[in-house]
Amino acid sequence: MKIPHLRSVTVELVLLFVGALTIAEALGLGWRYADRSAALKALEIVRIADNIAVVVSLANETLPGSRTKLLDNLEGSNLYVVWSQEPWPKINSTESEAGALRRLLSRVLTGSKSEDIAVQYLHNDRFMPPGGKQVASLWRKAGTFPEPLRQTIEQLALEPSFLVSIRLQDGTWLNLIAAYVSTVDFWPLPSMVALALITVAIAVASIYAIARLTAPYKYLAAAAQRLGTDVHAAPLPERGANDVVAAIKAFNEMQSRLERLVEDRTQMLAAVSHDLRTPITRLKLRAESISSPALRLKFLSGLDEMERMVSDLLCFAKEDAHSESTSRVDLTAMLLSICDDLSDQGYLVSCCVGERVPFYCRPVALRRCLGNIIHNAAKYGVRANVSLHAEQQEVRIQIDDSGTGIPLDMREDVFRPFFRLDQSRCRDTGGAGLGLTIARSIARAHGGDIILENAPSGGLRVTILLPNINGFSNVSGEAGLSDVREASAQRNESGRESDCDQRPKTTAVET
Amino acid sequence: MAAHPCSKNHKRPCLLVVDDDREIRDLLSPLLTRSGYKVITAADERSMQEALVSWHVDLVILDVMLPGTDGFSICRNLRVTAAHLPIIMLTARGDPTDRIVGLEIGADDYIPKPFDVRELEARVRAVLRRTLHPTLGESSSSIFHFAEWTLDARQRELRDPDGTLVDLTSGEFDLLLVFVERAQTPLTRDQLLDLTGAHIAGLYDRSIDVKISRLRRKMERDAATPEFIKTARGIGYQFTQAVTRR
Repeated sequence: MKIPHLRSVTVELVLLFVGALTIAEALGLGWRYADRSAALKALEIVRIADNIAVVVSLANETLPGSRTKLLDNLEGSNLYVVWSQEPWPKINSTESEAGALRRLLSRVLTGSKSEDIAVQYLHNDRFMPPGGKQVASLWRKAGTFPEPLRQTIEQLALEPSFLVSIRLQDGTWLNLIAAYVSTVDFWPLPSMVALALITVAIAVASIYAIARLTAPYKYLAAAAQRLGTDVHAAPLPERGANDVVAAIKAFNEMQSRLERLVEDRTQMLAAVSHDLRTPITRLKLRAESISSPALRLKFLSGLDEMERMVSDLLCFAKEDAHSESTSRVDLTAMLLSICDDLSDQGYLVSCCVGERVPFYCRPVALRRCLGNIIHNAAKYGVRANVSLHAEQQEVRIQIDDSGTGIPLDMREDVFRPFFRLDQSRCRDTGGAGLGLTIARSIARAHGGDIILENAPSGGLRVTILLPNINGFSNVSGEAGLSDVREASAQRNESGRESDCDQRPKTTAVET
Repeated sequence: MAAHPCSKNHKRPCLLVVDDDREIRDLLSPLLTRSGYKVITAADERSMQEALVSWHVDLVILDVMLPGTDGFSICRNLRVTAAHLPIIMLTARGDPTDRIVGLEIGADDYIPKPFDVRELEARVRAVLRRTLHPTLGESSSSIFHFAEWTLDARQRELRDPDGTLVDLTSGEFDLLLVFVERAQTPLTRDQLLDLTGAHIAGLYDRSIDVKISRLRRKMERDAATPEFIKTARGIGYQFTQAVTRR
């Protein structure tokens, strides 16, 4: 599974959901804790009151002589009882817990009046900072206890507890200390596990739901991307929720309108370029009757230029690359033909190729692609150096020129249709501005690409990469230095020129 | 319409130009006449049929885009009525599939508009050479075989023993065709210039040498010891492989 990007809708929504859920769970847990602990505390007070009531009624019915013994027996881990003549001194205590216990006691001890009952609530916050000393001094005041018991009471007083004094029927006082133990676990394990499971379940469900919800976005984004390169792409299948289907329908309608528009334009472009061919033919034939050879040549070269533009336009409009069938072609011979034709026209072109390179392609289209690039290099880059590198996986055709190159920020622009790098320079050299556009679309139709970079010698390096789909049928044992065929295509005043930089050996090409 | 009468016992080959564009007819006519042909013209199928009845026509130059019956249908009909009449099709359609259709229905060659008059002349000459000279035209096939290589004169394609297309410039192709048609015969540079029509283009002996070195570069394993086109000392060049036509 692909990890979604942090800024994606999925991540944002899942974080939002899980965050809100966690906050809600924390609040619920807190509320539940408060509620439960209040209930347990109330219950505990009732229990303490009942216990005290039992002790008091037993003490009332027991003769003073056997009271101490009885009370010793009644003491439990949470209740200590001391019988004395005086009540324990009153400490300021207005806590609601004390009031509650007092109300309960006055209700269950029917025989006692309200002044016969004193309840105080001791808890650590108030008493413990000095280490239970106040409680200890209280005990000392209240009576004498054996040392181990006092320590126990002091220890006990570490917990919140009630100090209760109740006057018995004979006027003596029963002093009780009741530990008030009511702890509710704030992090009860089963609840936590359950909540975690719920959170995970909801997170998973929301990831799934959001992924389903956002899938159409990705779908539409991908379709829009594809539309940019191929307006004839198949329409999107209209499925999903109602509103998603509505969006897809709208997108499909937009695409078909765009398609019609492009088709109309293409049709017009093709019709215009087509119709231009007859007048160009007439002019060409008419130019033959011009008596001045220089003028005739100028006429014809102008007409050739027009012809090239027209065929570029037609090629661009019809995307010929897709209609031609593939055959196996020797790339070496193709490059040599292109270079020889150009150097015959007076361009400076050198072609450094080696052995034969059989390659499956659409020959007319590929020839146009290579021709456009090499022609451009020779025309704008002073001279073109063509080299061919065949590897197992791909074929690399490199064309270096000695021109001024193309600024980095324009290297994508030059592939745009009708783009001109330098208006003033191109005005007299013509061309429809489609050469590179067509070349790249042909290279891409072959599964390859065209890369522009700086040539080491200055100028521009154009690299045409073509994947070698069928692999090379290695043409006999031809690989070898003796077979490096070199085209020194250029013939000018200085005679034959050799430009093959990396040639290991020059093979004389002469009669 | 500038029609040039062709006598039944002609010396000069007679061309019939069928094109609905009057200007192109009128322009082509003197240009081809100047190159040594008799030229008659027709604007549509009907006048073409009339011309074919009245004159002995050696070759038809046929435009594809014609009012009424189009060039492809005319070509197909002509193949039925005059099976051996050479036809060169002209068309403004640059589509490679058009070219294939044209050749499949029996045209001998196919020239896309806009064309050069020199190119047209070269094609006319090549087609006439293949069909008019009985020594070369015994079989109507235009496919040559030599040392497992294949040269298709109509499709203008050269394939090596593996079937790989070897791209040739049109000058190289014309030269190789001349050699293949005259295998084993030593040819002088002058003859080669003549036979490839290069004289008209104002080329010189040296251009033949350049073309031959280029051809060797593309065809020979080792250009220093050529197997196909050998230098005939003191004469010129000679194609040394045995050629069969099928």
